[in-house]
Amino acid sequence: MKTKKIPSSQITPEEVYLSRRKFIKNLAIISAGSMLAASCNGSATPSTATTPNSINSVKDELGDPLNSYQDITGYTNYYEFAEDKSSPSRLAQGLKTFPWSLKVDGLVKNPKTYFVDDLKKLYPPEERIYRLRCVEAWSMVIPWLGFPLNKLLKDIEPTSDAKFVHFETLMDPAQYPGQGNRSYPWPYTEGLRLDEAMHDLTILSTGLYGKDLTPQNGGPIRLVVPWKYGFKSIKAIVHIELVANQPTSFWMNLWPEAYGFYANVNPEVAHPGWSQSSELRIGETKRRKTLMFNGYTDQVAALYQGMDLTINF
Amino acid sequence: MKIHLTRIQFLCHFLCLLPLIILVYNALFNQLTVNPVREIAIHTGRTAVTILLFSLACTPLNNLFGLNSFISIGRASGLYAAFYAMLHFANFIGLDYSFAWNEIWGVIQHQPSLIIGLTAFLLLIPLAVTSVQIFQKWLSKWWKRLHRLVYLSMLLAILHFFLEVRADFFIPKIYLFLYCLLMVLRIPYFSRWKFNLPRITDLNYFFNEKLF
Repeated sequence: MKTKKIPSSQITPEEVYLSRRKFIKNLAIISAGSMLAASCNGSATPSTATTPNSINSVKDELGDPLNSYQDITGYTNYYEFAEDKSSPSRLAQGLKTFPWSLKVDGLVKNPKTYFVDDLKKLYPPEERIYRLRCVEAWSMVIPWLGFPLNKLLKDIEPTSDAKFVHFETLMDPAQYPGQGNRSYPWPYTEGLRLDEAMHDLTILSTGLYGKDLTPQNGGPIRLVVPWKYGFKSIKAIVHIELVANQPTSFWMNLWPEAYGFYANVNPEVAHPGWSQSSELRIGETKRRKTLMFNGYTDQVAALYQGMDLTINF
Repeated sequence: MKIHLTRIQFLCHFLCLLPLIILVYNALFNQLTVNPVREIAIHTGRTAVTILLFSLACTPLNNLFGLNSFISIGRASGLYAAFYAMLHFANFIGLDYSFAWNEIWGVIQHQPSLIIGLTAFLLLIPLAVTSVQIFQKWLSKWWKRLHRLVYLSMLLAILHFFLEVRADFFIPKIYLFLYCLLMVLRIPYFSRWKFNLPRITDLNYFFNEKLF
């Protein structure tokens, strides 16, 4: 199976990237200065993270503007914290994201446990501007920082028996109040077919808008699979396991008629409750048509050749 | 024309208008998130189902416990339920689908969950229209038969609720349970059940007292 390369337009132009680095560097100097000044006053206030403004001129490869940092960090689905979209931004601030270890094992030759900080050094994060399409029929354009999952998988060497990748979120009801609700099959789990996991668009993200990934957005480390509904992109991962059989995910467990294993964005296959043919891009007022594979058909359609996607939804 | 309100009627109007006040407050003070259409849909939908279920409970509350004061708010609460269902529907066609009729029709005809919800709402319209006393007299025994449609509407609304959630069936399950309970209480054998609560006459007297 051969998949197409990512169009160059999808990669941030170098001059924008460099100006952004320069901006961040300047920002660090300014905030260091202000911290110094603040410490003279006896009250050391931490430098408040501000959005690098140079990034706002960047669009996705289809020409649509990025969603704002405020929109992306203020409207999230994170059932471990709450079932609404606003409270996770508040409740997640206490999540202990450092140090964070990620165990990678199962059917592999080199099982390993990594600290997220070491992962960032091993696989330097690159910027990926992806559309995120929620199964609830809204979407955003998000500039992630991350590295292709295939880099990690190649290093741990899956055995020939490994066919699927299973992901698991941290299980810690003391930090995750939502995990006290026994009607959900905690911890949150997700799965990908090995070739989907190896695809170059599939990343492990550790950052957002040039900064560390905020806890409500899945920090310190999450999966991002842009051609699938957002719930596939599991947050706060502690365990990745290579397995032989198709794993069952959190949402499949809850309602298999509504949430399939593949969960590819597909305008033709409706949720039992609502149509997936259109979506609301956050920040807009009119619905827009939902694109097959969330607009990544050229890159990923080959993965599903010969499959009936209305059955394998 | 002078309007008289008893205590329980005042309480009913206040509690039924409260969700609207909260919605307007949230809209004015930017509390509806970056996706207000979804927030409005959830808020109005849940409110409509809750109030409709309450309106169905008014008669059994009187039959079982002798709470006759609740009889006087059954009609008003039913009308409020229809009002919130109307807001829910208007939000769907207006704010969500921008009155794009072709698209709306295309979406509805392929989506049983939406047909179910729409039917639940449409059934409430003739009931709301004929809820005034003139119709009650004019339709006489047919009025009661017609208004039994509310039980069908309620069932469809709960079914719609089940289908519209992500997978959190807890609240719809409670609503379905309460609905079944109310249905059972309509079976003649059970509808004759009586429970004597202490000081029920005092309570009715308190609730039925005119406020103004």
